[in-house]
Amino acid sequence: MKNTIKYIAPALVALLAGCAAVPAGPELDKLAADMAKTSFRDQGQAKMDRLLPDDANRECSAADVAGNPIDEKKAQAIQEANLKTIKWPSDGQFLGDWKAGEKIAQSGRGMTWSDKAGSENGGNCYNCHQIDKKEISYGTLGPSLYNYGKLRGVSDPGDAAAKPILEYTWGRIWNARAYNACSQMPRAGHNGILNEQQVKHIMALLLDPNSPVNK
Amino acid sequence: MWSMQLRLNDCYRQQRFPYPLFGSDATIALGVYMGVNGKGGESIAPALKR
Repeated sequence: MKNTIKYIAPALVALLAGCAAVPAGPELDKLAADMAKTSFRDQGQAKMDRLLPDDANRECSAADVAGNPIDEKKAQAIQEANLKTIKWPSDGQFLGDWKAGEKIAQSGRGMTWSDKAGSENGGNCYNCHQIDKKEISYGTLGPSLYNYGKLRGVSDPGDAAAKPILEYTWGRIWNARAYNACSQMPRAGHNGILNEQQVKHIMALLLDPNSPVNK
Repeated sequence: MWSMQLRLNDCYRQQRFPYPLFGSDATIALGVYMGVNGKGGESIAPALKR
């Protein structure tokens, strides 16, 4: 017994000394980043570069960890930079087919390591938003989009008066950070999740007066 | 019944993550974190529809 204590005691001292030196914030960040590097590997189209945060990710998580909203000026800069990345519809047409849009909004497929690279992605919109009232299985992380166009007074999407709403909605789908620096919404156009045609279909789902969303 | 490692594997897949190595530090740390914090909790499934 005595012998055991003799052997354990130095080990305990070493252990406690280790406890005293709990690493500080930046060191912990590095530890976590290093751990991520050794805990994951490329598989199919899901490559390790997906774990690298961009500047906005870094600023937003730093604010989150500190428990404060992000600095106003930093938020402005992030939004301005993201606004510039938005690609507007090449033919000036904002709306596609709402029926195709509903299918895209329902689909959560694509971009995992088990999906074939280049296969068509879904928008997974219902994961966070209520859209068509008929669909009762929806998430609530995002605001309800039921009556999206109607509530914003879009009765004729071709009318010049509707243009600002059309542009805002397109931009928000393409790159949500252009309007909210730390938005959690996936940047569907910017990150190549949805292509231009698919974004048009989603636009129609939200803004076409004939879409069930606006009934 | 799936092990926690298999559940985390599919969880990361659906998050579009790269592939988590079985028994890796990150998956074990996360499993322990959830185990400690979830201890005594009651299952309320299905808590989320989507």
